[in-house]
Amino acid sequence: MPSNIKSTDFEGEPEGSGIKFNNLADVLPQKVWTAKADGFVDYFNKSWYEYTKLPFEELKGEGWIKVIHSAEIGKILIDWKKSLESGNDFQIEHRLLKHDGSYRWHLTKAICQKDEIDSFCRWIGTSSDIQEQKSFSEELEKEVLARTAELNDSQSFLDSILNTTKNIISCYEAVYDNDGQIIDFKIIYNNIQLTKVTGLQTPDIIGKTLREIYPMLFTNGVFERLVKCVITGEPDNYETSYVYNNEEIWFSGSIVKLNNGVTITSKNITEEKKSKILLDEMNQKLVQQNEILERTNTELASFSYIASHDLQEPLRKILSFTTRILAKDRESFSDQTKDYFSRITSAASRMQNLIDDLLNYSRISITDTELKVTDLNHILQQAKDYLSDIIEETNATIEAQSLPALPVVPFQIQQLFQNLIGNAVKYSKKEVTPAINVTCETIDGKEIDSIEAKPKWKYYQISIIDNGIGFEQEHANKIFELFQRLHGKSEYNGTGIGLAICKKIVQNHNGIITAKGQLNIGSVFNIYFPVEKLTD
Amino acid sequence: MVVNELTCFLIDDDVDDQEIFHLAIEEVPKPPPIKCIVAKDGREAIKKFNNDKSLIPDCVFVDMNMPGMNGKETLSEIKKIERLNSVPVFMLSTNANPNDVRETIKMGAVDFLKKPTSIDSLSNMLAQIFKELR
Repeated sequence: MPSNIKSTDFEGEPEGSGIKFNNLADVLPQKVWTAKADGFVDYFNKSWYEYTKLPFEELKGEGWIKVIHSAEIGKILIDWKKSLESGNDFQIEHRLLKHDGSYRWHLTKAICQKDEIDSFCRWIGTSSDIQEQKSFSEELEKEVLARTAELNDSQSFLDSILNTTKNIISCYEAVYDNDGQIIDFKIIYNNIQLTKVTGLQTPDIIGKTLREIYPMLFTNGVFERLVKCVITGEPDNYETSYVYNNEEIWFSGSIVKLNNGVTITSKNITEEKKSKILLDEMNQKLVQQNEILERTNTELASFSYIASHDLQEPLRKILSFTTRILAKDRESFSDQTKDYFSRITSAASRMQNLIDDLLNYSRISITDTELKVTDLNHILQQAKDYLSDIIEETNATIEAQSLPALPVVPFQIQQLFQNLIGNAVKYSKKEVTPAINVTCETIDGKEIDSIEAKPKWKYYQISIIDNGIGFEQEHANKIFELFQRLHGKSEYNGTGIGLAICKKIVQNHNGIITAKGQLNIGSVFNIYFPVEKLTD
Repeated sequence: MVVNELTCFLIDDDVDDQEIFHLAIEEVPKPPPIKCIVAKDGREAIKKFNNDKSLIPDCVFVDMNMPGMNGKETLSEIKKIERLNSVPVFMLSTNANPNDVRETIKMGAVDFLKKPTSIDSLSNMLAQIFKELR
């Protein structure tokens, strides 16, 4: 554009307006123009020429179209035509070509003025540069779009979190009455898990109140907890159940305050609840079983006592009278009769022993378990005293190592030693003096040849070793069973209860008993007592 | 009462046991002669004591196992009779249940005897007791 063009070089004065108008128009920063009634633009102010650097000749009439951006030309021409025809105000935003080749947004307005002189409509228009505002609002729109996109991403992210958790998340808003008291809650949110678990569809319940959807919350105390949480702001926990598809589902709910309401996270605890209920039932059964067992034990105790007493009493009569007969009237009987009476007394005696031993066995089962720390050497001595008669008869020798002091039921251990040492003497080889050794050492559980041994425990091993007739190792377990004997009554007397009693006593003390035998060489009976912790 | 005669009082419901007791007493070496009074249960025994205030036996034997008033109850009643305070009371039983032994000794019985299975043994037992009474 030639830079030496001056505004005074341009022709075109507005008709019937005078110089004043030009001066005013040239001072304005806006671009001012006028047009005839037919739309012929016949005046442009200084700003126009400074902006476009184009002469009047090029812009006049419809020449101004060349500085309008092609995108807006179509609409301008249509709207301009409409205004020219109707006389209505004209307004449009468009881009205007600057002398440097750039486009700037402009707001063009024009009104029709009736000329005072010839009543013709004359158009007066302004075009204001709005590029700054336009770019600003475009930037703003871009920002908004970007932020909206980000927000949508966050929302999706949040939704994905809320909808993939296994917990049910719900938000309720407090509903107040006229006095300001909370009387209900409105459901404002729930995640998908609610539908999955309860079948309730979100659109069906959003906006509804608890009273409509979960009336049970008003009877099971949960509503009160929600109110309390809103008022105090303190989080809370509760458990409740819901019936869906004929099944009872248990939930553990956590309540936190959210604005004027609460957010509840509910965890499905049906499995745990079922397990707990089952456990409680089993415990109940256990307690009941225990009661039955105790009762049975008591009954057994009295039964044993009565049975043994009632069995022994007639036996005693048989023995008393038959021994009397043999003592007083021997001479009047034949040898055979005397022999028969002998066998009667013998049989009756055996029965007596059997009943004595059975009673003993049952007494040991019904535990009198007051444990007292006792010196086992002392108990061993008492057992030896009790057996003094047969020890003397057989010239038996008993050598014993030092035994520890242990928490035991003294009379039971005495019985144990009596039975084992008694056996050692009884089952001795003919013509061989019984020699019995009692030894003691400590041993690790894992080295004990018994499945009852606890590998991590330590035990005292007390062994009773004899040089008697021994037994076959294959019977090592059988001999501890009730009524099990390896010999007939004619060879060695005995009831078959003695070792069963020993086993019971040892078990009462958390111990183990094992036997090792070698036929015609001897036997070893090992008793294991757990080594008690010395502290507490 | 003949001087040096020992009186013992047996309380036992069982006829056979009464007979065995008598036979056993017969075997005890005399002197001194032994007289035996028998009551078949606790109630009869107490009645005898109450009817004859001069009746003070040298020893009393009470069977544990009796219908109606059992041995323990009988022992208790005897101990209530003041004039019998220094009379030794022995309990007799087929079994020697440790609980019974403990209780009766605590109640004042001198000893708890398990009834032996032969008359001779019973006789020896009684002889021992009578010897210490003299």
